[in-house]
Amino acid sequence: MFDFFKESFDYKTFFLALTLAVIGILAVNSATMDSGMREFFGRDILWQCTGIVLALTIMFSSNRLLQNTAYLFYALTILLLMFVLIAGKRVASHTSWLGFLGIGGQPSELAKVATIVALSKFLAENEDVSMEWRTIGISIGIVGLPMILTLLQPDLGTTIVYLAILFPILFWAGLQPVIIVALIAPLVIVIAEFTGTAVLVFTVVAFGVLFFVLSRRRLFAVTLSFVAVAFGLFMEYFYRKLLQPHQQKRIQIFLNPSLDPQGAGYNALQARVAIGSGGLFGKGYLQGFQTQLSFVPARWTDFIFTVIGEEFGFLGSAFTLLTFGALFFRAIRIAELVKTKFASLVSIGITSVLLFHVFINIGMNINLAPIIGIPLPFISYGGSSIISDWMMVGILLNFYAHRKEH
Amino acid sequence: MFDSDFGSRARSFMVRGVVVLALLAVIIKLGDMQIVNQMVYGKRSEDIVTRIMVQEPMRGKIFDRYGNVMVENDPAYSVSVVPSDFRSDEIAPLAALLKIDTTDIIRRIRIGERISPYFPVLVRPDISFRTFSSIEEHLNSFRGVYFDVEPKRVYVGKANAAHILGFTKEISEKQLETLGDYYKPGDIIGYTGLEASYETILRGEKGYRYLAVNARGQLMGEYDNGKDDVPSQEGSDLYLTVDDGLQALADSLLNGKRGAVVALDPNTGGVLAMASAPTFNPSVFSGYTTRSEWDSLVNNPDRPLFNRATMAALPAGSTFKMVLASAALQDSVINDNYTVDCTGGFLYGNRIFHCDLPQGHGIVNIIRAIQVSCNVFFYHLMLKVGFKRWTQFGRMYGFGQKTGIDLDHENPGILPSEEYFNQIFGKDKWTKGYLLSLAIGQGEVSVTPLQLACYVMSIANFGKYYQPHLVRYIYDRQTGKMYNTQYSERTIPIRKEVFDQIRHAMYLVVNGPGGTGFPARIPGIEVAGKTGTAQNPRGKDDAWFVAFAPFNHPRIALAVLVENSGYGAMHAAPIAKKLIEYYLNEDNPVPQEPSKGIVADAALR
Repeated sequence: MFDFFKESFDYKTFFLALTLAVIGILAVNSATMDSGMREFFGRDILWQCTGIVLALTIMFSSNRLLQNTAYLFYALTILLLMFVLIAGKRVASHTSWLGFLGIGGQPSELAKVATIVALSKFLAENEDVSMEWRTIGISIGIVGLPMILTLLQPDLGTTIVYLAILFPILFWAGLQPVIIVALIAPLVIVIAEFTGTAVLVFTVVAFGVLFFVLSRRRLFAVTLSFVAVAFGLFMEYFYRKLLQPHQQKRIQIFLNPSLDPQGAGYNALQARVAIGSGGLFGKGYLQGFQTQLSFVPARWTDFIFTVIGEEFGFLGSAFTLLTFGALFFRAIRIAELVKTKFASLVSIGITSVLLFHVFINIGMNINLAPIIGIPLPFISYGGSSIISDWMMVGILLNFYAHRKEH
Repeated sequence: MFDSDFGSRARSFMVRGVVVLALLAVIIKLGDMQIVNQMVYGKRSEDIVTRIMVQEPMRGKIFDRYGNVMVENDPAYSVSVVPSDFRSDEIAPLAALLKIDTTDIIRRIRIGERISPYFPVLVRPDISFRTFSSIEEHLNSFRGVYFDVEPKRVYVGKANAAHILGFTKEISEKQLETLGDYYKPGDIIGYTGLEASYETILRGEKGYRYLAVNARGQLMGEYDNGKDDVPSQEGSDLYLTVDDGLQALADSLLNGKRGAVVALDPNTGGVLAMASAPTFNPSVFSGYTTRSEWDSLVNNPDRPLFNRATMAALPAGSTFKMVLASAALQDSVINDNYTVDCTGGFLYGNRIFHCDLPQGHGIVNIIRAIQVSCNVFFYHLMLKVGFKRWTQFGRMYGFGQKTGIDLDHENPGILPSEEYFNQIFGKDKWTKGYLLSLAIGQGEVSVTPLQLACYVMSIANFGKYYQPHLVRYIYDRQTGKMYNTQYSERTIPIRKEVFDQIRHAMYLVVNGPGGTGFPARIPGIEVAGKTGTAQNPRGKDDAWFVAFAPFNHPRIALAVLVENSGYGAMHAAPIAKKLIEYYLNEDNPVPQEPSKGIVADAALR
């Protein structure tokens, strides 16, 4: 046993995650202090402990178990997502909650992990057909199915997370950068269109240049550029002519919440004031004026970072971010250490999903990203997300323990 | 440059690069907020929180065709309460000060809290400046109570025009649920008429003011010198096709009656006047409407809020005969040599269908039959033309379908067809006797006064059917540009000679010997028209009159309905006469082009 911990236990990953969990427990404690939601604090500790036990269980499981059961796991979560659509409880206008025996849960959190695993298995086991159009198509299908089911709930935030699964894993699997850029281009063009015509023109031109830089085949680059221009023109037509002014407005508010100060913009403004007032050292634990006086809504879930920002200041915020950064570097290291392609792809998928959550969640607290309700890993209160975060840690620990095996 | 293998060194370098860049961006932004601008945010946070006050946009004005203002805005004061700052023991004193019910305040706060306890909810709109100055000092002693200037609709035109303009009113709870994110409790919204159908154009966009409030909920002034404020955007103005003076006359001529008037410009389809009676005063709704005022309008059995011009579907009586005449002449089923000997009745099956004149009209051709309104002639004609063609011609003239006028509610009326009769009576359960009623505009056929006016318009202008409309231009105050509105038009496929004959007959209705429309005769103006008297199961007959003038170059086409009054010639024709006389003798016959000039066509609706 002692030998195992010396040789096979990745204490770096484990303690980095544990540090984040402790920050989370402290933040949830502060956020719920005077809120009437006090029971969340106890439950948060319970979820974190459950998550740790789950992570250790996964670590001790056999090295092939995950790869062998990947498609089964994926199929089960797809069924759960479908079931949610039919029977789900509506929480805050999403139908993403399932209630069993008094225990609620969001299958969409679990589905993220399952999708990473299934996509990695597919790409790892089809090496000979590596990166043909067929492979790319099936990959998009594997990610697209849960994506559509999540969009139907409708949960736009979690839907977008799936893009952070698809592209990085394809990239790591060896897909040519020009194809990745070509696949990302339509999404960026859509966002550029909503931002303004000048931005759209710039974006389309930039993609054209990128295509020529990245592809040695001139004709291919010309074709891609042409498609990008055509798509840009179509979007311009779609946005200006087909969308009603109020629909345009809603998209603009989504991208820039300060246009709607009574709705989403109010939360964003209060969050910025709370974080900015934290200063270098913060106001001290449990001393946050804004968060304690409950000016920040949903401050134990989507806006939990305001507590860290206000009470622990820039130093606390930076410490949290550096801890995340160290965890991501460790996960990338594991992707390089492991001997199987499957484990390597899964490690990169976990890294990018967590990074995406961190960037968007903190980004929406500080006006860097649109407000899409996705949790801050390990820190936001929420059973399903804490469990799936620890599950991903467990998978990394398992890979590390078996890193020398083929 | 790139190794295309999986997990290569270059790729791993790039993955690490993305992690570093993403986290660096967040840390730099945090550094900017927490270190560089800490003082700014710190001051905001210390003991000041923000409250958002909505800045109501100025609603667009409405002008008539000559540029006279019909509707504009006046300032009024309104008082709001922020639920999270307001103490419930202050409800009673506040209610007393504002002279409203405590239950009303409680209800409003309860609705507002559902959206957010931090936003002010309106508790009392429409406080005059005098009242306001006397209570302002007291208001300041309340916690979480704010006041603001809020525009209020005022009706300054000569005409009441209640059913055209419609009214604005505080949004209902049901509308709040269905209309989405823009509206908040206490908002003013267009309920009926143009105020409703052009709501998104008239209303403008709300602005927001950030106010600083201390921890005890007291107002500290503008937050951050108003740097974050979003100014409101004024709504667009509507320039109507309506003639305010003619509309005022139409309103007054219908006073004390139940009925409607629709007058159109036969060269454009623009509505010159549209009145419905009984009517109401739209200013009752702007500002603070008491429950009893509202109830008395809604529960009135004569339904003053109901726009009879577009919503009342009734049989049109003899005014409908030109549909059958058009079909017969266009299909060459008859010509004007074809005659019928009217003996005062028509035996069909075992039933006698009567003519208006018991002794009969004698020998009549189609011109004479229209002129003297002979039913017997049209009974014969219906059997010759057939049901199918009658329905088709009715449809060409726009009956049985909405006209597409720019108002939200419109009754399509009923234009029976064989299929329709089979459906409602059952196949073979109806006889051709039913058709004889249709021939003279009675029975199952029903039309709105607007549809009837459009029909006369297309007879007057030889078959052009213009989509009727009220709004001619839209002036966008944001861009400073005038937009032309776009409406459809179509040509009814009927020969000019047919229209010549029908128009001639309608001329004789008013001006010929024995013409039923003689009360509409005007010296110096050639008026053409047609009377109609339709049976109404609830009381006396409905009187109809349709007309256009001048005969050669028509500038006005109209339909007049007076419910339960009697003969069309007696009760409806004199109204039409006065309207035509007024409009054609007006000092200001050329519509004013807006001074700003038209720059573009509107694609707003």
